[in-house]
Amino acid sequence: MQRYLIQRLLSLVPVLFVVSALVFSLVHLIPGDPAQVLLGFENTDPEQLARVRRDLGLDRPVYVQYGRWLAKVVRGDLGKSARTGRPVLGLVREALPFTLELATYALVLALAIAIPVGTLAGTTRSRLADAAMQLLTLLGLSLPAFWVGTMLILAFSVHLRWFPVLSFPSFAQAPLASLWGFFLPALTLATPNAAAIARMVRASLVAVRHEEYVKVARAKGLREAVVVRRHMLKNALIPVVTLIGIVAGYLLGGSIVVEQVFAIPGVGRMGLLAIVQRDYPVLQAVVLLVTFVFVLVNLAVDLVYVYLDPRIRYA
Amino acid sequence: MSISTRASAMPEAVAVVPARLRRARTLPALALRSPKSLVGIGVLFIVITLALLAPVLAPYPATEMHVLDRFRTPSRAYVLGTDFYGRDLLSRILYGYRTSLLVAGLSVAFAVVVGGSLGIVAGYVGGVWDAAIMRAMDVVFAFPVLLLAITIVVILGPGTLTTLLAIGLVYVPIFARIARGPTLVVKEQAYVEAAKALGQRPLRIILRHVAPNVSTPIFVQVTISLATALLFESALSFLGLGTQPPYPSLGLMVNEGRNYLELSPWPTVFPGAAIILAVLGFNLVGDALQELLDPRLRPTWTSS
Repeated sequence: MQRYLIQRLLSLVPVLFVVSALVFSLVHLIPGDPAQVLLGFENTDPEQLARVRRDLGLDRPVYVQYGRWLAKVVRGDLGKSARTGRPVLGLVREALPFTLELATYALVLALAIAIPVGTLAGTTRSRLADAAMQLLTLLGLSLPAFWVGTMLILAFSVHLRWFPVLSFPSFAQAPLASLWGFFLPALTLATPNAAAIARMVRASLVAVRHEEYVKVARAKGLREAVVVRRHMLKNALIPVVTLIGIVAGYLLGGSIVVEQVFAIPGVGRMGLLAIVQRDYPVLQAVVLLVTFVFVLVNLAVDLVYVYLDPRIRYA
Repeated sequence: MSISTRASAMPEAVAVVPARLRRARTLPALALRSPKSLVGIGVLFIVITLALLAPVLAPYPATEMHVLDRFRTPSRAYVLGTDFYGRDLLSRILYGYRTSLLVAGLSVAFAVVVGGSLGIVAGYVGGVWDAAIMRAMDVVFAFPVLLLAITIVVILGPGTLTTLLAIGLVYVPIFARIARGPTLVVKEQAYVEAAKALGQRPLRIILRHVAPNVSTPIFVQVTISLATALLFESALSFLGLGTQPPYPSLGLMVNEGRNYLELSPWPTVFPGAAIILAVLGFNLVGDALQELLDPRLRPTWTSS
């Protein structure tokens, strides 16, 4: 276990290095003088330009520049927005709760939809029901999130007026209003992921169906519901945990699209706005932060997996 | 965004070709036996034909504006209606299909060639090369795919060609992983030993003996990847990072249309439905192929 943990943590080193190097080189890869890129193309004050150049250490070798930049980032200094001049860290701090709530909510919804649907498809004796659910999940995987979101707004906010538009109170302050306001975006983000998880649950249930322990459980005279819940699902859900790591990537990436559709002032929308406004310090922070969160989630998933599946722990 | 690295959740070595497949000789021949994939192939046939024949079928040029006919509902003159500028939606969707299918197809082709080669080389050569290539692929997997694609687009500047490259690069590791697993199995086979003993060069062995044998799982992944690449392309152009206006792209059309939802939903509804149709076509075929190759996935209670 200890060895695995150390190995897993060490494997993060190259990943974090490449992620940080890519984010660092972003300002150098974009055509133009890096100092000008960071300062924003509208700002032509030679004094400020000279100061940014000095800060970047553009006259020094690249690895020195990278080292300086990394040292700043580790201390939480992500630079200042080229647009507003505000520290990027503060901006990110304001936007992050929206994205985290959206992603978490979507994950919960996805699991709440996927586990019952997948279980039903994986245990039903009706071929028709199974095929219907297979087709339904395949359709779910084929839906573009930006279109689903727009259609939900059209149906439930514009026509039926059930859900508010542009109202995203924080969960901590008004939990119910927050869950209501975030429902449509979370559902949009959840849909393709729910479909993917449901298929995984089904496949994994079908795989354990003929295991000896399931036969034993039935032979003992346990009720079918108990066999499914206690014996089949408990084992079938283990591989699903790994899928959550992948799903996290889609939730974080997909939130960029969903935030745009619903105008949620989260990290994704901030990043997209930064692209349009060529506010590269902000964009750097967004890429760095989202990737970092994704790496951490995958680490957590791997650790949970080890806990759930003792075979890895003692391997 | 949908699941494009579904492959990465699968075990790495899914190499051995099932007996059913050997009887059917080729995967495409096998695909024709499954009703699900037949429907998928039918859908794809229609979509691809529409895209190819767009210049013939489109009633109007895709960017032609009819200022007096803005937001027309579907009618005889405009089969699917018109948008804010009075442009014919059907014509724009047909040309949009061209862009979307071209980008999806070429980006997946890029990923197959680059990723497939990397995976086969990693598996065949082994050792340090294997470790280096596969760790590099792991690093790419450390990024949320859409975010990585967006970053690439920002560096290269938005446009159709950039979208193609961005999606292609993001998909490289998927194909590297899929090609490597079977290669590990194939390279231990007697016929590869025999080829080596005959003094054939590694490149020849890879092309003649290894590549054909890893093509089955790659083919399956190609169909699935085409589905997700279409979604990807449309998402990027929806965000304004893909094909630039006034050229028609399905994602861009949804984005333009949604500003006028209350005036007319059609400019938003139809392009979205067009995307779904094409994506579903690829997904149906991909899913059917996966079932055929992995009997465990087949409909419940039939194989037992």
